[in-house]
Amino acid sequence: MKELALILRYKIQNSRRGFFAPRLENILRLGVNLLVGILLFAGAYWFFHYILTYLSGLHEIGSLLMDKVVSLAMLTFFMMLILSNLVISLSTLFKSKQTEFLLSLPTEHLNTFIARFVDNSTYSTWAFLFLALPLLASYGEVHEFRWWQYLTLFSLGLIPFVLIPATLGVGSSLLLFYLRRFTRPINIILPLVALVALATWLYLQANNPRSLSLSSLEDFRILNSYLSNLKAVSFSYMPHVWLSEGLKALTVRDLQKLFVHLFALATTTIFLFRMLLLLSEKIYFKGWLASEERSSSRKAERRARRRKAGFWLGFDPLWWLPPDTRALVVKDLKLFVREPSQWAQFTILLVLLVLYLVNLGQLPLTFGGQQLWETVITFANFAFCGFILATLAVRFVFPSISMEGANIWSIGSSPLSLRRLFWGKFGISFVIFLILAEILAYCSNRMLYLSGLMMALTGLGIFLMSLGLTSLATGCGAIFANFSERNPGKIASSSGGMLTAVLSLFYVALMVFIVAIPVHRYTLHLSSGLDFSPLEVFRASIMMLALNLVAIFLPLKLGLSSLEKRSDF
Amino acid sequence: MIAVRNLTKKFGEKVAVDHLDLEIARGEFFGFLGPNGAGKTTTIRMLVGLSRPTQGEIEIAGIDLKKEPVRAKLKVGHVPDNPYLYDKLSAREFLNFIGGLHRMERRQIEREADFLLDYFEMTSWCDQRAEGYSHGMRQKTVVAAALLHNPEVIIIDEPLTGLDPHSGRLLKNILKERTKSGTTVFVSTHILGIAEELSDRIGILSAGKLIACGTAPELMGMAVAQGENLEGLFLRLTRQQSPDSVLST
Repeated sequence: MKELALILRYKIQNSRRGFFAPRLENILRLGVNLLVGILLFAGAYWFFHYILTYLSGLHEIGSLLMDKVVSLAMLTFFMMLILSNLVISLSTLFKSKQTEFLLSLPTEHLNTFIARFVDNSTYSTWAFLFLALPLLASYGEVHEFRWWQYLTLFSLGLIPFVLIPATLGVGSSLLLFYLRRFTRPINIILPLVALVALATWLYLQANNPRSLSLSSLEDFRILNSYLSNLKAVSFSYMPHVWLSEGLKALTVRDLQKLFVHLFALATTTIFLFRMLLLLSEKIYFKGWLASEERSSSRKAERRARRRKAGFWLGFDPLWWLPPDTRALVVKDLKLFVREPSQWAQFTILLVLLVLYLVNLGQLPLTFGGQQLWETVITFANFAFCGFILATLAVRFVFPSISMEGANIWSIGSSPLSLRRLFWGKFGISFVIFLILAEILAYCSNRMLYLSGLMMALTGLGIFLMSLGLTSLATGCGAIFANFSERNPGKIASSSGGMLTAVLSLFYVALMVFIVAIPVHRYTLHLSSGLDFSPLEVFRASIMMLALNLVAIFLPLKLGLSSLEKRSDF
Repeated sequence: MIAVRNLTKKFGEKVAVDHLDLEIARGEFFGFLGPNGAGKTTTIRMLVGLSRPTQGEIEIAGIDLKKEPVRAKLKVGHVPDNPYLYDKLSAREFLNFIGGLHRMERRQIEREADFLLDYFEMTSWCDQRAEGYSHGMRQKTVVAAALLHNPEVIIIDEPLTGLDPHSGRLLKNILKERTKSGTTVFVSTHILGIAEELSDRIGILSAGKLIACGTAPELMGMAVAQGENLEGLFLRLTRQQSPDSVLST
């Protein structure tokens, strides 16, 4: 215990200094992070407050719907936290120099495990808090919570709610490493897909969206039947239900019900954490050894066999690229596939997208000629696609130049110019991005039964957004390049990464806004004969052109010149 | 002080360390030589408990490493080939941390840290954060951390990595000095000169097997008998062609 306290004390000191060092660079970084944090928090608070206030205004069904929205949000957070803890454990509990160092010290392995579990939970949870805290705070605001209600909610409700998925995620990762199943991409992708499939099933069971049709919203008999259906399929043994029920009890100040649900959360947390400690005592070190000692020789043999046999029968799918760019592309793809933390996070994002598409497929949306709804849904989907693309760009494109890391000398001293490197990175990212984005847009538009015009418009919008977001992320990635950091997650969450995230989201919001207004007015003109001037389309086109010129060319120009001026390789 | 019996490590089909037997006495300086990929680092990782043998036993100061890893580690000071430092901690804070984990008294940590930081000429840097250290300064910090608790066994993988000749000499001197007071030093290196200069005994590892072990004069005797120097003997034993003959072919 004394040793654990010592490890944690020095780790906290080390982390605190990373944040609060009194140096200009750190102060700037802290300032940008704070500003971004406050903006994100305020934006999320405003959004949730708006939705919840609207729902609370609906007589009779408002509070039921509000509780359902919160419960579903908590279920989504719960599943996301399990996944996030599972994936991040790859680079905290296992593939980490710090873990190896701690394990070499004269202290029980359990102390190392607990110290790294704390890190893992922190890394996995902080982003979730940016969504959960504003949601719960706005819920409290709508229900006029007093200070003790907030205190109860955050200390006795939220903390156990975050720790339960942390123990489940890390527990799964311990088992996977122990069973030596966590060493190949397929062995991590399959459990992830299984988990997401489970989450989807739970979500669909709890939400049952087929029983609710948008055109039937006004029919209260159907709505009542939908709501009673919801009640019947609630999972009483899920932590998100305990938290939601606790929230409801807190709202009506039913202390007995509140106690029951908070007690369920607390005891489950303690039980699971105790189980995790027991499990870690038995298998953590063995799993860690397995992760270190996996047979790379067998892989090397497989690779050599493939090379000798003329893999792909001598066909090179990248034959059309210049040799130096081809070498760069092949190297980047191989490194991506061989870095578990990279493809694991990419897989999560992909399965979330599939989840989103499955959900859309489950919603029997027919607009019945209501142009307003078609426009709203189309652009909500367009904005969602943009949000996903912005996330992908910041997480995967932004770090790509920094990831050359300590090996930048090999490029800096090679005949491949930095200009070529920069355009190579941009080109690879853009092509992959565009393919993904257009598939996503096409599938989601098909599931929303959008008209041909809307499909074409969003297709064009997505093309421009792919170009704009890739340019922003590549350019900013070069401006804020950090060649001493090896962890892409940390590069993406640096002050440069945060600034890129804000710029990207701002760009997506502007794009949606610029395109949505004239399209909406035009559809209204078609349906109800409202005045519509072609000048509006012209004005929007000019604005969109200007925005994209700035978003595409400025970061690329600044990024390239910044990279070429660098002398610290 | 270090007893290794029938130590074997396999990675899948590949045998990295093959039935290694070693007895290293108290106060002995043992040089562990071998070409790249011979299994030196794997052996060291097993000696410090970072890898579990497929077969065999390790005893450190009479303690079975498998049965009592924490007690055994308390006796060891370890410098890995690629050490880890908390970047935001200073050298002094890092030593305080390591001393605490080795259950040293605060005053004892301060005294030893003062001595070692001064000895390695780190005093003017010791309160600055490690993120600003050069490769050599990081190595000196890690070496100081390994020596801090006056371990009975010091295990070092490539001791001179990043050190300038003066710092290298300081390190060699303190290691030799420690052996006089009974500390066992186990040094893995590629550099024949270090092994020849400092070691009481030298072990040569090739393809996971200990193919020669003896004092420097004994090995030199073997070399001279074949009309070679120590380098020639090393190359012959490890079945590596002399770089000169590779060039001439």
